[in-house]
This record gives sequence, C-alpha cells and structure tokens, in this order.
Amino acid sequence: MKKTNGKAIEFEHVDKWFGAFQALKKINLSVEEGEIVVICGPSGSGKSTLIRCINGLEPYTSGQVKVFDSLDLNQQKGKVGMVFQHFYLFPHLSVLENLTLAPLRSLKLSKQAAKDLAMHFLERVKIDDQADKYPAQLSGGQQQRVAIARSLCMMPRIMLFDEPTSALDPEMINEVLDVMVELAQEGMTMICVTHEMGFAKKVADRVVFMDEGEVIEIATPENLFNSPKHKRTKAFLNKILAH
Amino acid sequence: MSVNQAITRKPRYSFNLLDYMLILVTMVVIGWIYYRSSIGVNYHWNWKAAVDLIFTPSADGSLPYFFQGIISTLRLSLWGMIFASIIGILLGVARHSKIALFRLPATAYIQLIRNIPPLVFVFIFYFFISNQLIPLLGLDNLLRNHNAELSRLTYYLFGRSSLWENLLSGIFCVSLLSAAYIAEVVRSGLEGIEKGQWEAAYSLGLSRWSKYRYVIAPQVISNISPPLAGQAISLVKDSSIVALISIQELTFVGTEIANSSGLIFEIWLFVGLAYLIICLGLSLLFSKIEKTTRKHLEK
Ligand SMILES: Nc1ncnc2c1ncn2[C@@H]1O[C@H](COP(=O)(O)OP(=O)(O)O)[C@@H](O)[C@H]1O
Ligand SMILES: [Mg+2]
Repeated sequence: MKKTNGKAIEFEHVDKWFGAFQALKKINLSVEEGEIVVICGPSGSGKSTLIRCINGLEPYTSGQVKVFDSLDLNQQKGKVGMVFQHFYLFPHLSVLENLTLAPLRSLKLSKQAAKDLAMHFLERVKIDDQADKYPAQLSGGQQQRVAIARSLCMMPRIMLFDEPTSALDPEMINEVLDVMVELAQEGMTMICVTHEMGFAKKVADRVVFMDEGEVIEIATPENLFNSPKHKRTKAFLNKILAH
Repeated sequence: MSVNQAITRKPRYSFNLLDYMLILVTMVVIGWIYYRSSIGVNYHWNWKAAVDLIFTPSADGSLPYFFQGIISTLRLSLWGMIFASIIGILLGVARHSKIALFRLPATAYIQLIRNIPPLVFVFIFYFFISNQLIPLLGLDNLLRNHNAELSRLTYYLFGRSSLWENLLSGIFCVSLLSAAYIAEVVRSGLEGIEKGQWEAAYSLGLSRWSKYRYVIAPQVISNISPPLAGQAISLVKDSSIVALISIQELTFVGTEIANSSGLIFEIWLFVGLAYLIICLGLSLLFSKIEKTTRKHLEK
C-alpha cells in the first residue's frame, strides 16, 4: 500500500493542563506519512485538544510533539491544514477570496496563479459554480467543502479534521465524507476526529479511542469496532451504536 | 417582501395621519412657547436682526463670523475623528491584548476618561497639556511663526495659521476624549469575533499582520460601524465643550455673537440648528456607507 515514507507526527509523553485540569495524559502516538487515523471517544475526552497540539493551536504542557521531525510547530502553519466543526469561513470574503487569501498573502502567489489554484480545488470539491457567492449563501455541506478546499490551497502535507460533519444536517454529511475519502485515497496524511464509523471502516488505517484525556486503545477499524479489548471502548461503542 | 406588500407599499416620504397629528401638536407647542415667551418672559424676538448678523461678512470682507465658526467646528471634528480613530484603535487593540504591558495602561486611560466629567478633563487638559506640553515641545514657536502664504486647501483644512496652536489644542482635547469611547467600541468589536476566525486564519499560515488586515479588521469594522457612527456624531456635539478653553468653534462664536448683540434666543437657536444639520447629515452619510459595507451579510 501507500505507507512507510517516514514519520509524519510523533507524540511523546504529552501532557496538557488547563489550569488544574489535565486534558491530555501521557499521550504517545505516532502517525506515518500517508496514514489515515480516526480518533473517537466521548465528548470532553481530549480529542480536539490532541489534534490542536499538532498545529500549535494549543500549546502542550510537557512532552514533545514532532511534525516531520521538527519541534517548531509554527513553521508548519499552512503545511498542516485544519478543518473545523463550524467551518469558520471568512464571512466578508467571497468563496474564491476565502481560498486565495492565504496563497496570496503567505505563499505570495500572483493573483492569476492563486485564482487558478483556487478554482482547481473548488472543482475538486465540486463547488466551482459557487465561487463568487458569500459563505452565508451556501448550505452547511457546501461551506464545509469550501473550508476543505481552502486548506488544500496551502498545499498541506497533513490534514486535521475536527468533527467535520457534526454540525451538518444528515443529508449533507455524505457530500463532505466523499471529499474526505477521495483525499484519503490520494495519499494525504489525515487525522480525523469523527464518529462516522462508515468512513472509518472505509479508509482508516487505525482508529484511536480516547477517554478522559488518555489513549485507551489503538487498533484497525475492524478490530476496534468488532472486538474492542478495553471495557471503556465497549461501553462507548454500545452507546453510539444504540441509536 | 411579498408581491402584495410591494404593490400596496406607499412612497417613502408620504405622511400618514399620525405624522400629521404629531406635526400639528409640535406646532401648537412651539406656537404656545413662542407666545408665552413674548409676553411672559418679555422677550422681543428680532429674527431679522439675527439673520442679518449671521450673514454679515467680517470686517476684512471674509466669510461671516458665524460661518467661520461652523467651518471651524467641521475642521475640528474632521481632524478630531481622524486622530480619535487612530488613538482609539490603538487603545482598543492594546486593551484586547494578552500582554499586560499594553493592556493595563490602555485600560487605565480608558477608565480614567470614562469616569471623570468631560468638563473636568478639558480643564486639566488645558492647564497641563496645552499650557505646558506644547511650549515644552517647542511647537508653539513653530506654529505661531509660520507666515508663508497658505493655499486654499490648506486654509480650509487647517484655518488661519495664527490659530493653529489653538486648533491643535482643540483637536487634541476632542480626540483624546473620544478615543476612550472608540477604544471600548473597538474592543467589544474584537471580542465579538469568534475564536474560530482567529484559529482558521492561524491554521492557514497567515502572518499576524495579514490576519488583522484581511480577516479580523474588515469584520470588526463592519460590526462596529453603527456605534462608531454614533461616536462620530457625539464627537461633533462634544466638540462644543472646547469653547470653554477659547477654541473658536461654533459654540464659542455663538456665545460671542449672542452676548454682543443681545439676541440670545435667536442666535442660540441658529447655533442649535447648525449642529442639527451637521449631525443629521453625518448620520445620513453613515447609513449610506453602512448599506454598502454590509452587502456580504445578505442571503
Ligand atoms: N481552553 C480551555 N480551557 C479550559 N478547559 C478546556 C479548554 N479547552 C478544553 N478544555 C477541557 O478539556 C477537556 C477536553 O476538551 P476537548 O479536547 O475539547 O474534548 P473533545 O474534543 O474530546 O470533546 C474538556 O473537559 C474541556 O472542558
Ligand atoms: Mg471536540
């Protein structure tokens, strides 16, 4: 398959404290280049905090996080794309301007080059016909696809997804997941916080189960979903499968 | 809007019955006050003399004194708004900063201004800053001894060079007061931006400057333009307070004309009218601007 190109991300004994509250406890996790990792776990278990440590949005308290063997997470900005639950498109900019902003200002591309790049990714997420609209004029699913395209314009080597479909109406979830599956099949390194089991089974190499700030269990999707080893994993799976 | 409403909608400026009744009531009240004041207070209205006075050119043939006052107020307001915005934005950003070295002085200044009467500030300002600081910096000589011929534009923007020192004190005073209020507006605007907007900008690798310039500032400006417009209008009105330190703007001029002619009511009503026209004009202007800057919010 696609792996063994080297390590993309490495967590070593990472602790994260918010004041007196420990959100991450001794996290050890390494992700290969090209690997797809899905993270699941109950709300408040530290999933967001964990992936926010990867691009430096959340400074960790102790331990080490290396991205492509570098400890300087600031240098990775733009090289580690992030997609949020609530999209966070820039509301005052058109779809096209949302996509060209960072290439123009950070990569210093020419206007034409930035526009070509943006249109290329808008086509890939099948939304090129909405380029001149404003975010508020799009549906949630469309907005999330724009957000993904916006990250891709910076040519990231890693993509982080924090519950990208949780804020969407059910009928829009698949259009976003389809884009993510395509991206996964092209060899992008991806860490996805999601409870979409179908997605995990289809593309994930490993699934990480977290609870109360700890990594409880890491396994392939089949093993984790069908024969979880830990009782906390079982309890969680029972809950989300119950309805 | 439904088709039905669109058809039955009246032209914008037509008055309905309630409007007419309100106008009638207003006129009756005004008439009654006028009547009472002419017999009760024993005041003799002399509008003709007042109008003549207001439109009489100055001795040297230039613009009538009253209109010089209006222009002076406009000038003071224009520069006041510019400086107040600059200082206000800096203070607002500092107030929002995580760094205490920036935040604390800004907070202290804003609280100080907002919690002492403007009048007291004007006096403190006049005796300490205007009387001490400007001479200290050597600005007074520079300003007073500028004798070169002024271009027309320079004249309208800055007035006669003999009054520059006077104008500068006025601008400082007005803008230092207004800046504290603008700073609070700016801060609340910054706080109104979702955390996610900053995080999305960060994740895209935008520099600190690009983040503020292209992501945060445009949203803050569009959100705070209504309170900012209100602040600009307040500034025009509040600029009258500097008449107390002999800045020769509309209120100062009004005082002089009213006292020297004895046409107290007439002149002050004209002064009020002039402020009313300036402020209403500004609020119309701002609502036009607001409509064009908020286009992206339409569905
Ligand atoms: N900025 C913060 N300040 C204080 N506590 C926080 C902060 N962010 C997250 N937490 C706490 O850390 C824990 C983990 O949060 P999070 O990583 O968002 O969980 P998840 O994404 O798994 O739902 C939660 O208990 C949350 O309340
Ligand atoms: Mg979360």
